[in-house]
Amino acid sequence: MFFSSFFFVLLAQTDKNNVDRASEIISEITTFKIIQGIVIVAIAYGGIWTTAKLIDWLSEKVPLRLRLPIKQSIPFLRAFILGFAGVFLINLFLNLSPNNVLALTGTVAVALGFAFKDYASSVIAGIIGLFEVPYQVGDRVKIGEHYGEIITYGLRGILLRTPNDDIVTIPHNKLWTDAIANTNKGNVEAQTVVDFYLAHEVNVDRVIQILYRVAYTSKYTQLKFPVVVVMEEKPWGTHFKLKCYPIDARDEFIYKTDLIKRAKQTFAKYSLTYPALPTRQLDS
Amino acid sequence: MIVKIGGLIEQFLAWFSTERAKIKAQAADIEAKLTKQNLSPLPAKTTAHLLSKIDELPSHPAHIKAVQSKLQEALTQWKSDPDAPNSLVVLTSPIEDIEAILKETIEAQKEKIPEVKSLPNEARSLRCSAPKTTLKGKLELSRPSQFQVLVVIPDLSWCFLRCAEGLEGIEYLQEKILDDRERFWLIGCNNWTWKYLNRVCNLSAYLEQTLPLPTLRDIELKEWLLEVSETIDFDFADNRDDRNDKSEIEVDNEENWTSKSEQRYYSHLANISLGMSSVAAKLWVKSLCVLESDEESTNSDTASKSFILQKAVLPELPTLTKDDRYLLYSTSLHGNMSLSELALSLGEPESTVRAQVQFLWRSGVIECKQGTISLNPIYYPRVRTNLDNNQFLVGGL
Repeated sequence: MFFSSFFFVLLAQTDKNNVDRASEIISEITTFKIIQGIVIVAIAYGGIWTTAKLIDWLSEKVPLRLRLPIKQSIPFLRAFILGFAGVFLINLFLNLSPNNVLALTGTVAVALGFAFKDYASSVIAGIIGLFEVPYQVGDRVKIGEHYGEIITYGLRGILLRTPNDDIVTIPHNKLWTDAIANTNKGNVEAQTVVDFYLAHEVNVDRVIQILYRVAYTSKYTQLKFPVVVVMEEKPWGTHFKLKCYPIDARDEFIYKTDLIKRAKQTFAKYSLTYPALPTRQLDS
Repeated sequence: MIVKIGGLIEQFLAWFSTERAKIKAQAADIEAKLTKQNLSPLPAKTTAHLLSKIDELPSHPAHIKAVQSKLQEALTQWKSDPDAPNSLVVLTSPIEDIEAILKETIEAQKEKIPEVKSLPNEARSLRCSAPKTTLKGKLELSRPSQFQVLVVIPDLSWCFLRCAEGLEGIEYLQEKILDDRERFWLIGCNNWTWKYLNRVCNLSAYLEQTLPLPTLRDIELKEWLLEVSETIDFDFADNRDDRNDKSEIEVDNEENWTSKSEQRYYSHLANISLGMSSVAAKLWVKSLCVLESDEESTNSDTASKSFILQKAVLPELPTLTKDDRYLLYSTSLHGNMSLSELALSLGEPESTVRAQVQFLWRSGVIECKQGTISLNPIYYPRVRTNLDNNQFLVGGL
């Protein structure tokens, strides 16, 4: 309580000092300047929209290996356009002498500190993310409980498309606190792991051979990458994991379906059994 | 100094105006030529006639010669050394007719070759249902051979299908090739199949001896196509410019060129067809067109049409979707296949694949002949580049 009162007093004092300078900082506002400002905002908005559309279109036209590098240029271009527009607007409406800048930063810092703390944190994390690259557009990431493909890298956060086609917005400031699992890290290929559970009695050599064959003969499989089958023993059966890569990471879910469908067809042909669920005798 | 600069500027302006006038005149000349020459595509009947003539052409002698010499060398080695490899794989592109090349090679060397057992063409229809039984039955592999036998598999893609159980035939072959030293295996295989099977079944560990067929040079293509080109009277599109170029013609006559335009045409053809006879032949037909001058077209009753051979151009691919690419890769991998086999290799229902095939067939990228689907050779260079750019495991040329 004491601390919050102290902060409000501090804020009031800071504001009082700065009010006198406000007229110095803000330049004379004319109708022409307002029109100019609107035009700059419209151009920046149009520029961001056009660039995003153009790059999206271009990334689908170029060879697959160039798709992601092209898509990943969107956040940089967006930041560039926004930066330019910001500088123009500041130049238009503010008189930026060294004293004014000091006063302004003080006010802005206080305002950000209290009102837009999380927003500012996300924006800063987003800018740092551009250079640290924990994720990029086109990557398949798991943040918290959400998994999917990053379709947009915005100023404040990213948009994630989940397997159910839901769009999830995740702020960049998750970078500070959460673990981020990135499956493909800028590559078009992402490893796909498919789980199969079979009974203890099955011929494991046969199962492993079938799983290799299923992966090698799928039209989606990237044959330049390895295919691996690993197994694990469970009390109720044997767990097989088929690890392989699709040619295009966007096919991940349809690829999984194809692998499961064809593996199950072959298991049925060789009468390979699935684990039986443990049953419990009910009291009559 | 000022006078000098002024003089230089004047000189430059004079030179610029003269050059501009020259360029304008040349442009007007070219435009006049283009408007005078009414080039129209070849009539369907003539195209069909030429294509049938091309189908009748024997395999290129350079290919036959290369296989013959390598086969003789390998057979001699196999007969004399028990540890020598007992197989030879002839590698070619998915659009070349490897079956015909091997058949003609064997025909030409019948006396020098021991007993020959060849896998018949109908074996391809059983490549998924019972490849092992088919191979055993057709090649009589279950019977132990008393004499040295040459077993010919005209196209390795007949022995497998890209589906979960479609590789049994290849496994069986690997086993037989290792165990049975009394048989020498001559196998035709396309580069894409070879690369795929190498990745999936480690095939090169069993079949160590390979012969990639050579690509053809301009003069070789010209001589091969001569039998067809002689049946039609044509002129080269850029023949007029040639007449001022006598000196170069004399130099190149060592290679039997009749004109500079001819050499230029075939050199370009060899370049864009990547030295593949089937691509070059189709491009040659495509670059032929009919010339009708203004006078002739006005008196069309009396007009006699003449043919012009324009610079060969590879056709552009239509916009391909991901599914189209999967289909084209599967088709190239197997050389040619039926719709049901294609559907099985793609893991899709036939109805879905049929719709895709229709689209690609209409745009000319694939051909459907007697129920078999194959890639149109004329599109092969562009399809290969497209699939390679899109991360598919494509074979060499």
